Parts: sequence; C-alpha cells; structure tokens
Amino acid sequence: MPYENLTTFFGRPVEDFQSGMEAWDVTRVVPRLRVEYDSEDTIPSMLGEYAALPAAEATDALVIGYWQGEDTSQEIVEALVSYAGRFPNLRALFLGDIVSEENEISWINQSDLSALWPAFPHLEHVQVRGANGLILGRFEAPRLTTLILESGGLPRRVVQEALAAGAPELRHLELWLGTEDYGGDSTPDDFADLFAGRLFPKLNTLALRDCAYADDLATAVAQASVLERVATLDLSLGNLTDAGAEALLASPGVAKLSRLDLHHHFLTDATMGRLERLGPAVDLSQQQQAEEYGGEIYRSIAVSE
Amino acid sequence: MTTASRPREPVRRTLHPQDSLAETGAGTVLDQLDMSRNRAVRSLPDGLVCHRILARESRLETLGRGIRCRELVLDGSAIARIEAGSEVGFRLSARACHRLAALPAGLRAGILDLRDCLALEALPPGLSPAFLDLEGCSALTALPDDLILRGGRLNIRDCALIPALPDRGSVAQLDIAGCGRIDRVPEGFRVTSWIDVAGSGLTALPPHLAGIGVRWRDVPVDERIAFRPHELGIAEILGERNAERRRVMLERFGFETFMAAANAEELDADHAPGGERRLLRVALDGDEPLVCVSVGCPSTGRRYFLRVPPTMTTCHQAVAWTAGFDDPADYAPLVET
Repeated sequence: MPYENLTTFFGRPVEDFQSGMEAWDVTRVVPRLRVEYDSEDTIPSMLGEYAALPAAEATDALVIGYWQGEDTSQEIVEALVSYAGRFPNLRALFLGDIVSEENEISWINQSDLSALWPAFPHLEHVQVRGANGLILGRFEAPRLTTLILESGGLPRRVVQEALAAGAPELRHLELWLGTEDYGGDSTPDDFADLFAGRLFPKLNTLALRDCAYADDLATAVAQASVLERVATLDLSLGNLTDAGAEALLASPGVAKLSRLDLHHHFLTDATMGRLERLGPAVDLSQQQQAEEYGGEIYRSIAVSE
Repeated sequence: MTTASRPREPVRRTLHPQDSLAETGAGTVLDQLDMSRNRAVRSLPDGLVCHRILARESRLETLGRGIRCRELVLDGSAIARIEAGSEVGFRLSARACHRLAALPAGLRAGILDLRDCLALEALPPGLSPAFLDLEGCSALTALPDDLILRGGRLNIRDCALIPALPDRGSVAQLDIAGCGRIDRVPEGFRVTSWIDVAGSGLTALPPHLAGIGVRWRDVPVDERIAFRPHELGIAEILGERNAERRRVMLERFGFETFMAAANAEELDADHAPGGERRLLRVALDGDEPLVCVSVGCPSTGRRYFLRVPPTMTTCHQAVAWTAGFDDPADYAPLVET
C-alpha cells in the first residue's frame, strides 16, 4: 500500500515527462518526473530539462515519482529550489508518487523540505509519501489549503512541525500516523492544540489516518472543540474498535459532521449499525478481524511497511 | 502520449578509466559525459556543451575554455583550475578537491557544494546560489562581501577562520557549527527554518530569528540547551526521552557537573570496549528512582546515558536490558561497534 501510481493530480491527468522531450502541454496534463531503477536519468537532470521548456513557467502542478531507492529526496528538493525561478506559478506538489512495487512506503527516504516553502510561496497542495528522514522545518505557507503526509510511521517531530505550520488557509490536514515499528511515535497529547481549535481556523477536513492508537485518538477527538469547525473527520486505516466508537457515538460534535470515514476498522456489526444511524455519512467498509497468535490479540493498521 | 513531442534519444558518453577524449572536437554537444574515475583525461575540449558532466575521482586538472553545462560533478578529482567563462547553470559539486584554491568569477550555479576543499582560500565575487556548502573548507578566510544566498542553505560548518556572515540574504538552513569567530547574525540575513550553532560564537538567538529551530551538530535542541545549559535541571536531563538530545544536554551541562550536582549513587562499575561503564542511581521526589547506565560508544567515543529500570544492579545487566535481553546471561556480544 499504496499500489497504484497517480492517474490524476490537482484536477488533471498525470503523464510522465521523459528525458529528451522538447515540448509539453501543461494546460492538459500534469508532468510526473520519475526514473526506472536501472536508469541513467536522474530527477534533478530531468527537472533541468523540463525547466528549460517554455511550459515550465505555466506549470501549476508537479508530481515527483520514483527515485533510486537508496537515495533520499534531498537532491530533488535542492533542484526544485534551485529552479524555483522557472516555476513561478507552482501551486501543487506531490513528492513521492511511489507505489509498493517500486519501494515500500516505510523505505522511502525523504529529506529536509524546509527550503521548499520560501521558494514556492504559492503552494496550495503539498503531498508527501514516506517519512524516513522527513523534516518539514518551521515554515510559513500562506496559501496552503491541503497538507497530506502519507507514511507507515510519522515521527512525532514531524507531526509537531506540521501542526506548527504558519498555514492560515489550511482546510485539509491529513496525517498517516502509522506504527512505532516504523518511527511513528506520536501520541494523542501531540494533538492537544489542534483539538482545542487553536490551529488552522479554516480547517474543514481532519484526517488522522492509519493510527495504531485509534481508540485513544477517537476518544480524544470526540470531545474536541475542533469538531465545531470541521465537516469531515477521517479516522480510517487504523485499528479502531468498539471502545473508540463508543466515544464517537457519545459525541454531539461527531453527530453533527457531514462525513465520518472509519473504513478499515475492527468494529462489531452492532456498533456499525449504531454508527450508521448517528447522522453523518459514514464509511464503514473494510471491516477487519483481529488475529490471535500465541494468546496475543493483534489488530493491524492498514499501512505500516 | 499525445500531448508531448516524441522524446529525442539522449546522447550519452561513458569514458572508462583509460579512455581518452581525442575524437571529441570543439562544438560537441552531449547530454551526459560520465568520466568518473578516468585516469587519462586532463582537460575537457574547449567549447564542450554537455548538460551533465560526471568526473568524480578523475584526473581532470582543468576544465577547458568555454565549457557549458547544467551540472558538473568533480568530487575527489584532481581539478586545480576552473576557467573564467565556464557556465554551470544548476549545480557544481567539487567536494574534497584538494588542489582547488580558487573559483572563477561569474559562476551562476544554484547549488555550489565545495565541502572539504582544504586549499580553497577565497570565493569569487558575484555568487548568488540557493545552496552553498563549504563545510570543512578550513583555509577559507572570509565570505565575499557581495554574496547573496537565495533561499536554500549556507553551510560553513568548521570554517573556523570565517569572521562574519553576509549582511543580507535568506536561507532556510544555516550551519555555523564550529565557527567560533561568528558571534552575530546580521539583521538583513534571514533564516527561516533552522540554525546549527554548536561551538559558534553566538551566545543567544538573535531577535529576528525568534522561533526557528536550533541544532547542535545536527541534533535538534532548544535555546536553553544551546545557550543557557546551566538552567537545565538534573531531572530534566535524566528525563529526556531522546538519547541524542540527552547526550547534548549532558555535554552542554557538563558531565562532571552533572555527576556532582545529581549526587548520584554508584551501584556498579566495570569496563567494556567503549570504556568505563557506570551504573548510577539518582533518587527523585515523587517518582521512582532514576537509574542510568553510563556507557561509551566504541566507534565514536561519545558517552551516552541510557535510562534503565530501577531494578538493575549491574552495568552488564543494564546494558543487556537496553539490547532487549531480560536475562543478562543471554547477552554476550561478540563485537561492539
């Protein structure tokens, strides 16, 4: 997981830009730069070729796909910043459209992205897959509306950096928290300011997904004043059980949501029935069964390795 | 694929260690020339246009006149001179080029990586890169007056002779660790994300950098650890969960000071490949006692304090516990690295 490369991004189809191409119709398709595992190409050199095209200046969205597995994204990030003057209209960036066949999510080596923010002040949509070595830094992103960090384990330090973002326009916050086995060491306490409504005044979608402490997280968010602000709460891909669902069921804030996404969960049929009658449109697909090995009960989140 | 023209086949040349470039004349245009570890070529042909020149660990001594490229990688090569008028548009990487004493004026590369160029004494005027890495350029006596950083990084770690930062510019990341003469960040010099201050002359974070991350040789710390370590409390140091951060706290607070101030009781002591090990116990009000084992890393020589359960009675038992062994008899490492 994830298994499929992007087919669309920022509302338009995605196609691969290839070394040697001498034109690009940026109005119709979003370019994706990626290499094959045995390729002589590098993404920085492809970016240099793309940046030399007239299309670069009008490019509003860019997807970076697979880079050589053992490398980090550092050279790519530095190339983006170095060529930033050629991309004055960049509004959306996906860094790591990499599927499990190419490299497992927890093996993707990211890097310090802090130089991207001042270089691309018009960014509205930033999506990153993989959290090894990921640093967001302290940043101001005045136009950012969507921040998505997909991982098999999101370090608490990165959670803190995301929540400290100067992003007054943020509407969609999506964090895949993952498991401690892959560096995901956040706790419900890390979200105290967010839940208390002290961050992101325009937040509309709160997605804390793939959480290995989903019951504790659901209990904490169920009483949170941030629910007065958001329309969609997404706690999908985690290990939610009836214990966490009880807190959601008892919450007036949850009942008033328009959408509640809990898909991939460990709820009983009875609890699912009660959630369906709660009010919000609720996604309860992918009901999971706990597994037992040697007397221990295991409830796995959807994305770890 | 309907939107874009058919890709042109890239023109790439690879030179093996003994290959020469004899047949490549002036005016040649290549996408890539890979002559890494080549022993035969001393100079590139005048007027060569090549998007990407890879000459790592080669015997290349000079570039040739009028070379134009986007990316030039000379790491570990014999390069001694880069001719004036050379165009490098994107990235010049010349790490550990020990014969390189100077660079020409007019370099426009957005990324300049010159780490460990031990002979480099000065930089030319007119540089405005986004990323400038000069770590370990210990002969460099100053940064150019007109240097302008464009948003990325300035890394002058261990450039101990450099007395001052540029008056203006903006970077996300600033590394001045080991720059003992640098005691201020000019107001016109912006840093947006983090600053590494270990061993620099800074004694406080300047007001215009309030709120940015502070690092101590790569370890994220805070202003107190970096600038006011005497304010740290013993319990705070022992209670720090992150081992790297705790190491820096101890180092800043002072190991001996810590031992004395904490009034630690020694439960056990012995010797291991990393040096002396001690098992220390500190009683804490309102909490179970803190028991820590003090160990040295055999590779780095750094000393670490690792918290262990208060039931531990010997260094060996405690170290075994940190390696995941409940029964110390099961823990017998062959080699420690």
